[in-house]
Amino acid sequence: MALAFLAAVAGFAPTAASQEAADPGYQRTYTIHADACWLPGGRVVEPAFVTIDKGRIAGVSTRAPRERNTPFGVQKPTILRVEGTLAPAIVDAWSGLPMAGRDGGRRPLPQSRLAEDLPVLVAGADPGLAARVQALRNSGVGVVYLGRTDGNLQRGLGVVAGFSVDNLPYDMGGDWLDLSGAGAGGAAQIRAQDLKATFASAVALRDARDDFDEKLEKYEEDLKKYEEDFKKYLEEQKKAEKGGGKARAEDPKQDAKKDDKRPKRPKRPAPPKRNVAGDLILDAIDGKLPVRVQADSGAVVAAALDVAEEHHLKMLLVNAAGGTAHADRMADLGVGVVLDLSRQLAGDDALAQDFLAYSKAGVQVALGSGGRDLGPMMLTLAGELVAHGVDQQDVWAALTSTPAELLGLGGQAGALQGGAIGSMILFGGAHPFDASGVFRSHQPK
Amino acid sequence: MLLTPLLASLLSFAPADTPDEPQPASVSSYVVDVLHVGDGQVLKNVVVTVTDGKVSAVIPGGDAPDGATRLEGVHMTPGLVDAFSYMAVDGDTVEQSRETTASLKLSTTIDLDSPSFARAASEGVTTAFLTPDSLNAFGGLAAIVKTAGGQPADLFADEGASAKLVHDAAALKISLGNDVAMGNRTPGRVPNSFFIRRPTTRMGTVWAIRSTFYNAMRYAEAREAGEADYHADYEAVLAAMRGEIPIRVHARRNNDVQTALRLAAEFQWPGFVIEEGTEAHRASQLLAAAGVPVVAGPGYDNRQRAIAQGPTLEQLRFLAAPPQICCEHLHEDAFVVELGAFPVFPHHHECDVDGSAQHYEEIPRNEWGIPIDPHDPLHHEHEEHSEVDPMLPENELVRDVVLSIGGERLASGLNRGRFTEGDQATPALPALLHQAGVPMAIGGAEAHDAAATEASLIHQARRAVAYGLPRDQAIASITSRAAALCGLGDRVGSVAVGMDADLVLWSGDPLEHSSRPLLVVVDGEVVVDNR
Amino acid sequence: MPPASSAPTSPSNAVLLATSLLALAPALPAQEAKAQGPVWALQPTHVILPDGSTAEGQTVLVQGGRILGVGADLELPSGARRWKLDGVLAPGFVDAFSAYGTDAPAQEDSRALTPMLRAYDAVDLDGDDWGKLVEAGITSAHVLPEPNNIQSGWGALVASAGKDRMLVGRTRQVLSMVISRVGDPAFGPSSLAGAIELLQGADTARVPGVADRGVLAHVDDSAAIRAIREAVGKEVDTRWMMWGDAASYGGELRGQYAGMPIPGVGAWTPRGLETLKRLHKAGVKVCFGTWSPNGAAQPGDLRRAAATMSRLTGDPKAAMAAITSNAAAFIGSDQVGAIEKGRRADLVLWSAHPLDPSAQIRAVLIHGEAAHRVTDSE
Repeated sequence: MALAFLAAVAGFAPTAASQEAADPGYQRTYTIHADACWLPGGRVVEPAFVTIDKGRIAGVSTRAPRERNTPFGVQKPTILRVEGTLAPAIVDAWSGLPMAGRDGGRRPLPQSRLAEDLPVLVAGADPGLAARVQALRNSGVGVVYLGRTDGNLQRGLGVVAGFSVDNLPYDMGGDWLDLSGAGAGGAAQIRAQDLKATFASAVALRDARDDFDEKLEKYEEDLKKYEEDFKKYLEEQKKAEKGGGKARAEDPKQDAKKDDKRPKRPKRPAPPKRNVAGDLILDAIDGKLPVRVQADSGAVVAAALDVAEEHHLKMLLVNAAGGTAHADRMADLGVGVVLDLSRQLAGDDALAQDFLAYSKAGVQVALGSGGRDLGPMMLTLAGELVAHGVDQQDVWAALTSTPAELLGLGGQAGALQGGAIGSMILFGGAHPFDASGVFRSHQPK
Repeated sequence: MLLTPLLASLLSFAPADTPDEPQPASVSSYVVDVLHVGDGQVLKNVVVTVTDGKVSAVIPGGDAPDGATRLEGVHMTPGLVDAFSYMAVDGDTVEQSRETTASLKLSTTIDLDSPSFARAASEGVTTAFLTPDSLNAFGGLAAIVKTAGGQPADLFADEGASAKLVHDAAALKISLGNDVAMGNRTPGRVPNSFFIRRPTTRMGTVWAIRSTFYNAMRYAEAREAGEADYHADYEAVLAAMRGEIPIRVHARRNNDVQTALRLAAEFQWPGFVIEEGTEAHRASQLLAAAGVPVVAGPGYDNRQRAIAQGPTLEQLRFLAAPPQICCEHLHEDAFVVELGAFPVFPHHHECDVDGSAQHYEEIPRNEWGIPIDPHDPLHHEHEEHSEVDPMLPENELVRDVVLSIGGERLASGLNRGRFTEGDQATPALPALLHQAGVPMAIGGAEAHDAAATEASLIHQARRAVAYGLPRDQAIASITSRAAALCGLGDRVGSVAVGMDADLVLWSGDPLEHSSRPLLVVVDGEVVVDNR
Repeated sequence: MPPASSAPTSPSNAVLLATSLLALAPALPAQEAKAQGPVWALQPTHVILPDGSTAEGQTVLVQGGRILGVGADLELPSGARRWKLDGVLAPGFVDAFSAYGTDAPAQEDSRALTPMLRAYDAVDLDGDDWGKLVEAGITSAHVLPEPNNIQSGWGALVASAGKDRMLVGRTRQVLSMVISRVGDPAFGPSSLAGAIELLQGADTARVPGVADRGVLAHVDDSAAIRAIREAVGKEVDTRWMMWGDAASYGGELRGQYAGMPIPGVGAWTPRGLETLKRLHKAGVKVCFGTWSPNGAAQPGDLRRAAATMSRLTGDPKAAMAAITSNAAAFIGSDQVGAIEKGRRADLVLWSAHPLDPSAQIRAVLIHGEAAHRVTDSE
């Protein structure tokens, strides 16, 4: 059933690895009857019946599922009555869930796939990680983007992960080419240059390969010609031997050396060196891999946009602090942005200003926890953006539907709709940020 | 010229020559265009007569007697009184090996031949209130000197070029704030020098003061019962509490000023004067209500690390409307503590005379309150030297450290708190205090220790005028009121009959930058002649 | 204070209220047993009651900086002026332990026992911090000496603004049994046993004032709690400051008032999240303060901590209490922390419930006077 929904996912083409989704292990089917629920676009439905089937939402309705539709012998649908309003779980596009150490302390390689470091989906496979995931889910998070945090420019391939019934992350949305332009000041300038240089050398790599192909063709032609020439030569030799056998020297080598008429065998051109990191960049240029660039400064934002424009990349900018001057260009190129919610901890309105500037320019804005574990404070910090003048629905979309879309999850997360994951939050206050009412997170079984 | 009633009364007291004077009186007269009497009055065309070092007549519009000194266009003021000065002391001005050195007299350390006095005199300052530095909770007894007219010890010096001591117990100096707490900072958590006796916080400073008062009161009871030996420090504190010695409190911050007011209420001080008071304008209503005067210092701004340059917009707003600070603190129950109801420092034997702190003595403890082994030889040594202040660790090594590094450490620690206190410093401080009704004088601090005349006392008065202080108040704050706050209001600070003949003749209005002292007279003798 | 403006004709919003109080309230006496002056009848959309619940249609009577009464059908005294307020009127937050205004160094290193220190002596009332407190809705703060000594001295309750800043000059005697803070291999105790011996010798219960005011004990394990209980005695009113892993000893503090540092900002552990939940479940009356050894927390974090607690425990009332009434009880003051008859009129008007992070402050009244107001009303 879950696979069927996965197949329906729209968006750019997932990589081969992600098409085989892991089985998150959800089994039950039931309906939650809540006072209301939030649908995308600010629509509120009262009352709300959300039916969950094997961890995914099977349907959202204002009426209870009708019993007469239940086939004979099948158990009647379980209806759970809860007080409050249902909303989708948060999609954290920049999670702090620590994956370090899961790769056994391997040297961080540009080609390492985080998806391969995820645990096997068996209860008890990684109790420590499961406890962290449980805490995240209790805080209302349903989907996370996991990436490395090291200082390399190419941080391997990050992964979009959902959570299994045993609170273990599973590959949900495929690989991302994770590039880092972290750092500010002079370091940022160097990072911006490095970023461009990385793409330029990948292009050079492809050129070198194309050259090699041409050379190889020529070589093969030359080889054919040589073989023919050599045949002729041998025949001439034979004739000559028949004519005057004594003329042939005793040492054939010496003889060959002196023999100017012997055709030369063409040299096989050396193939270009193997370059896995470059191949990944080329995959991105070919549109096979989406790119994610952490840009902590305007210089890196500009460089990333240059690269995106030149190679028509599917790109997502992360943090993008100080990049609001390039907002219009980002909107033109269709580059979305994941803002760092932890910046709100400073208590000023800088993040809200960035949010407003980007969304005014038409950039798709998502909010992530900035690679930190903000826990239940994530909703508080997001709510403060509303106090600083950002529209409430925009902030809510930036936590749910927008990151889901940007991460290529389509209808799989970030909205209460058929096919989406069944993780939800339930709030008793006026809106999901309001902590003056009850707050619970729902995790399917 | 009309005689004011005051002047008329002065004239009526003009003494006739006393006939039974054995020697002929030395009489000199000065004719000046303008006389700043010192109390705010300004008289024109005045003849000032000096007899035997005292002013004997002040006659406006009078005829100039023969031999009178007459200078065109001059202004006369009384000799200026610097009511808060650090100048001309040999070495450090406090003894830092004890926290309470209430009985030490600064007068013993003053270098009367110091060139600083000559500089001060040439800038018109004839009387200086020299105060111990602010590095001790109780710094000792302040002194008052006249900056010239003394007999120099230096045989090459001119007659009368030396300063002379007027008062050797002019005030008991108490310091609040960071300065007292700063000597004890070491890189680690543990203070490990002889400064260990010192508090490390404002709170500790206040406690050091409180405990001294409590101990002094207990000492008084014990002394009456014949159970305590004479203790000079406590005697000085008790004299101050009886009002025999004025109390001077060095405080820069608003909260330190308020702390001083609370201490005054708690221990029922007969009165006190705030010294330096960099942020005293923030507590001006409290000070006015309590009638506590302030000797304003030069006003260092810790952010600029220099003398504050001009008011901010916020400060100008204060000028328009002084801040509202309530006076209830003075009467809050929480701060009225009965004698004997307070814990004393652990191990402070000599003050446990009434046994109220006996529970601390059940286990012998060291300075840090840690129980100590009674068989410890150091402990025995300690008990044998019971007359030594037990707050000082009795350790030979520590003693050596005191002797070897003391001087340099202390010198570098001089007044460091000035640069950490005074966020709210403003050159409008004197004006704000005046506006709020706080009795106020201006002090020079280190003004005359340096050769720079920009810092001199008259310059500070000019600056106060630039920032809103009325001109008559500016003169009063460096003459008559300054003298009054030093306890010498009946001798110096104004040009009136019977006062010391300390006079300054200026080339123009003293509050103008273009004016300079032409003649400075101390006790009738000309000590500076720059004509 | 700026000069008084003319009285508003249409008292319908908070800004006008603030302006008019600013104009008229300074005439009120600060601390009088019998309040005088005009009576204000504040009628906000919602009021947060002492139990943490939100009620509609309430009237709050304020006179002389104090709350005269709260109720749905209060009889208005003659001459009372009514103000209809759009928003939620909440008690000002109380920072249960902070070091505002006490500039470094605030730790007294000269002795291990310094029961005589008073934090109030070190408070810089002109510091920049106080304005930030008001903007965060915190109307009073419990200022403590740094707990680096086994007996550290007296705390003080200080109002964030207004004329009468010192609310309680001596709140509680601060004790510390956190060995990492009081331990000192050179001079002081180097072990918990040594610290306990020192504390027992110090005879805290007989320090003047402790019998009336109680103690505030910093602890980080159950051995420290037992040591404090034994050394101080049961008669002394004791509050607790929890450091370290509070879950490991929280069971000792059931039913007690206990302070916590702001829960890990951006650094959660699953156990940390669970701890707050379990403390609440065990009946520990938690409150928050912004002091921490590394000074990481800001005034705004107090409200965030309450929102976090509400989300974790599902108990918004307890979360409100943690930054208002519990904090007041922790300090030992019945003057602040609730909108209740007889308490100070330290009130904050919010645009929505204060636990809603999108709520904005519309006005802050401290002792019945406007300390802060938002001028850009819609």
